[in-house]
Amino acid sequence: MPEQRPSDFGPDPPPLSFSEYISMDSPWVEKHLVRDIETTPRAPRRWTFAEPEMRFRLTNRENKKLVVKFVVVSQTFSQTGPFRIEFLVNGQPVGSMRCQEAGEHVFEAPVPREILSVAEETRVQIRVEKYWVSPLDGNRLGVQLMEAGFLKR
Amino acid sequence: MIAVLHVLYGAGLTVGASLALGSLLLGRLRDEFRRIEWAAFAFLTGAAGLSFLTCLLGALHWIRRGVLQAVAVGLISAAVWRSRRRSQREPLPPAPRLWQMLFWIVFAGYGFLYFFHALAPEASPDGSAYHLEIVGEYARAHGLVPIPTNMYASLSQGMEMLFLFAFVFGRHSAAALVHFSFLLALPWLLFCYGRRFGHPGAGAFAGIAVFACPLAGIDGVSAYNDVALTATAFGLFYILEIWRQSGNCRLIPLAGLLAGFCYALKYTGAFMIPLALGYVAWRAGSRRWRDMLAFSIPAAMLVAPWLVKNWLWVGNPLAPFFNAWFPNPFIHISFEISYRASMARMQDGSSRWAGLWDVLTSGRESQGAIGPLFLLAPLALLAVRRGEVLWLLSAAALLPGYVSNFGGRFLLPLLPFVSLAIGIALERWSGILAVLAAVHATISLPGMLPKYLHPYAWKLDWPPYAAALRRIPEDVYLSQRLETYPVARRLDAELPGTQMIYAISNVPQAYTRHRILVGYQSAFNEKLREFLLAGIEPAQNALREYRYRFPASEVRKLRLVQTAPRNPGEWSVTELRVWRGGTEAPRQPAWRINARPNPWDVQLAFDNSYVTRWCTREPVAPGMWLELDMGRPERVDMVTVEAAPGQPVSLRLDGQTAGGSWLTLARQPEEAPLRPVTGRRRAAMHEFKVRGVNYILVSDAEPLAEDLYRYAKYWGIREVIEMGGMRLYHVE
Repeated sequence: MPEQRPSDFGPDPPPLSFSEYISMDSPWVEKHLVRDIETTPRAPRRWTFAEPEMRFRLTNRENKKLVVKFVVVSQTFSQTGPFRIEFLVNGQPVGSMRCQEAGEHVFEAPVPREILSVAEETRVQIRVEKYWVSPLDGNRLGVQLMEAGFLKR
Repeated sequence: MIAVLHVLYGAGLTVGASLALGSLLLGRLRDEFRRIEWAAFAFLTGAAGLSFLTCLLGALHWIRRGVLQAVAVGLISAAVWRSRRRSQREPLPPAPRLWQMLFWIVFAGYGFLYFFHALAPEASPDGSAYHLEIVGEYARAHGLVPIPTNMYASLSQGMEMLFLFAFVFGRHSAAALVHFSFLLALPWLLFCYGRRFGHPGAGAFAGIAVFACPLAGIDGVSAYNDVALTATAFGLFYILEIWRQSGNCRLIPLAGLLAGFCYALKYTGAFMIPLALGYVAWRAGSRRWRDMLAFSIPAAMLVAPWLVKNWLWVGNPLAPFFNAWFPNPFIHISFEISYRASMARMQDGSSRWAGLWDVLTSGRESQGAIGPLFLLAPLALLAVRRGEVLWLLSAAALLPGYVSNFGGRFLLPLLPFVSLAIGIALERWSGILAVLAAVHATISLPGMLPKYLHPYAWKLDWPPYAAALRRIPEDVYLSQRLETYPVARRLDAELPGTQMIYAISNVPQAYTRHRILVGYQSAFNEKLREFLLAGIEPAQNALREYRYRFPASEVRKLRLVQTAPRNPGEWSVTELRVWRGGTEAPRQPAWRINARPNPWDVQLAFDNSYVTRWCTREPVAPGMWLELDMGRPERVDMVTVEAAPGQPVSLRLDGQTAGGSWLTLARQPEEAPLRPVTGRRRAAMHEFKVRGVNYILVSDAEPLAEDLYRYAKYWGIREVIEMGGMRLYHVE
């Protein structure tokens, strides 16, 4: 008869799910990326394309703000000029900002609890007014994401 | 530059010792061979002999620089001493000038390119993984040691023995250069064959076709064994043809030596032994039995070490295959079934005909291409019409290798025969043949291959001269070629001694002294993988409890018998418990347990762990059983089986009474949910720990990586290295 293993090896953690906030260089960022965002592994900045969308799973809906840190790249800005960028949560607009210059930007806006999901994923969409369009393949580049998600207000 | 000299010394010593031993073995047969073919046969037979000799030295744990140098110097001195007597070897009939020129241009040009590739740091997929991992382990142990955690260590290792000889002095690149020497010998043999047997143009054509073949090139400059088998199989055929011509029975033992070496080089070469033996029996006439014996003894000498080694160390002389014939705890039968199936079909699910097209023109799914020249292979049948029966048989004997494995490499041993046959079929149109050879040599140049081969095909680029001459440091070059090479080096730098590391994501094993355990490579590793996967799935989701209730009975043995018909699925039991009066009977040290099949894992059904399980590890069949012997009659009224639901089994619980008779206690269990079980992550790590596996290596891209990282404390692991998207955890 073999050595008997202990009956109790301690507690289990909660099920692993999407976090509420993610940095783009996280090894596990990919599962937050729904579409139209660059998926190069370990990239600290990720290009957004035509209709970028991310997903998050929230533990509660109270006092949340959406935070998106991104970069407007000077090479694309020189062609697009100033443009407006709009942020939506589960399809509902939560705010927008005008990018007047290249460089780092941070968008922050409170999110009403009614439009947030707890049991389901919460989707964040980004709409960029003007894209840089590649003359080679027609690919549309928006901004470069650094961090995104929900923080406490 | 000193590193290059070490590499050249290691390879040179091995090839030199092979040539010397070969020239001694050829002995009185010197005059049987023509001038230039003698060197090729001296090399082939000597390599076979040196491989055998190195195996013996390895068994004695005498693999040390001094010993190997003494062996090499002794062999070379003896060969030089013997060569004092000038031989009167006839020259081969000359080849037409056009063919001489074409052959030498291709041989010199490609030989130059290949040499620098072989000299460069070894970065081939299998060479940097298992071929040289095993060699490295033997070199560090100064001899052969069991490696039960890697199925590839059970393959025949004739080539690895030559690698080992060279590796001790020049490490990885020296091994690749030894294989390169077989690549050089191959066109030489074909050229000589054509000249000796009246097909000089065809021989030169075949030499060019094989030497410039893209897949033969990259394989031959890597620490692989396919080109060595190709050259040896053709050499065997060549010797038999000389024997047929001359009737000199002294050639028979050499044929036996090469036939045995075919097996020693690669299992797929085994078919050459019955073929050659049958041919000898057919052609020998009145000397049949004597010649068959003369063939069989050296063949057996080359085959036996690998059978015996496997028999002693992994309980299966033919490991890692035929585990159903020789059941053992090291390779699961179920694994072998799935492995054979996966090797025998194209990775993209396409047909074998599509696979043939791929290996001719694309090389994506076949891991390399042999080139569009071989689209002319059907012409080979025209040559066979001329009565070249042995060709057809040789090619047929080598075909099962490709049937068993879709990789284009497994076609290489057929190419000399196919090339020669194409050459003979077209030799009356010498101009066309020469143009074909020239076009093949041109479109096989490294600069041309990307124009028609798939980008993912395994193929040569222009030689990395700076890396080959070590003007670019080896570490820098290898880091560029092998993404996880720096991780392998870091493991050596930071971990003490030699550790067993379970690798969810692999590193080039040949570049670390630690034993890397890859999930599929042994039964041991496969179980580790299962422990990990069991760790993240709640037991109550993965398992059910099956209660076999029966009137209280006095029984000594309990046996769970499988009665359902045969099924490709497996049967597993996570825990089997015995109850009386609603209380589990405590397991006693005196209890004995057994199972059929797979008795080696039976303890896993009685260890109180929800991450381990006993499993048949082979398709379900009626009559399989799991047994508990309590040593004396005990009163029991229920047996519970905790197991995964939905298994293709029907179980009957039998009990053996004090009198020794068996009776059926229960047939139908009640199914119930398993009570919640927590801590399976830590339980999984406990299993790692008790098996001496203290580290887990994982890439962030793996599905399990995030769980290990975020819940490290629940697993009981600690991150010790983070590098290039890979993490090494220590099991605390």
